[in-house]
Amino acid sequence: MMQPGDNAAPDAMFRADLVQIVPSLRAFARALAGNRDLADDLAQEALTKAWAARASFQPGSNFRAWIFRILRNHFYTTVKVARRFVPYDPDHSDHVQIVPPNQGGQLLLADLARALATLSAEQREALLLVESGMRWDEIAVVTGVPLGTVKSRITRGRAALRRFIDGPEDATPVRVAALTP
Amino acid sequence: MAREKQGSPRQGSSSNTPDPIGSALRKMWADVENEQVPDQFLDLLDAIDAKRNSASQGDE
Repeated sequence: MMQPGDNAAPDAMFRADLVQIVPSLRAFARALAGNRDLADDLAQEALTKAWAARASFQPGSNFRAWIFRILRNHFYTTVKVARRFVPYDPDHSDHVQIVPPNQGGQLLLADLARALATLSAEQREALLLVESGMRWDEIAVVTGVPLGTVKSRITRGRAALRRFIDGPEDATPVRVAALTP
Repeated sequence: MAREKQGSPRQGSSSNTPDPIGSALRKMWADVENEQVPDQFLDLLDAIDAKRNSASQGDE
């Protein structure tokens, strides 16, 4: 019987949302931390925090953006508390998967991981979020910055990746970002 | 990739030009999503269920 204060039904729905988001939450954690074990720790902590904060979630609003934001805040708080730079630590090096040829374009995931490690965390997360299918305005919610900042991070991040991948031997920094709006 | 049909235009990249970086980023994301979820996550959800059950029993 539903009574005032009986949260069984909303809790069950919330629990179902949690189950469904786990794969994407792990992917976002991996985008932030790189390292699989650290990322899975982060994702589990975010799930626990989300459960504890479930009363603040508005049913029908964007659950993905809401929980991604929790994960992200937790990641940056952890980095700050640790008072140390937690480097993006990709563990794709043992993978030999190749992205299918795309009109001549081939890119090893290991190369991509190395290129991503050269970006700022903010650029890296924005790039991966947009390619995960998230809209710019949702990314703005997750990362807590204006839309223009999201666009700028994506543009600059892409330019930096391209620079790293196209010309790794070129030690001279080139200001490509300014040329590609 | 399945989520591209969410009613919004793709903003990340133009679809007319080959975009190995975009497809590699999508693959990197999808690879993690497609991994089997580790047991610790299931344990965590079980723990949530245990809390949920004891809470709802307390209401009755």
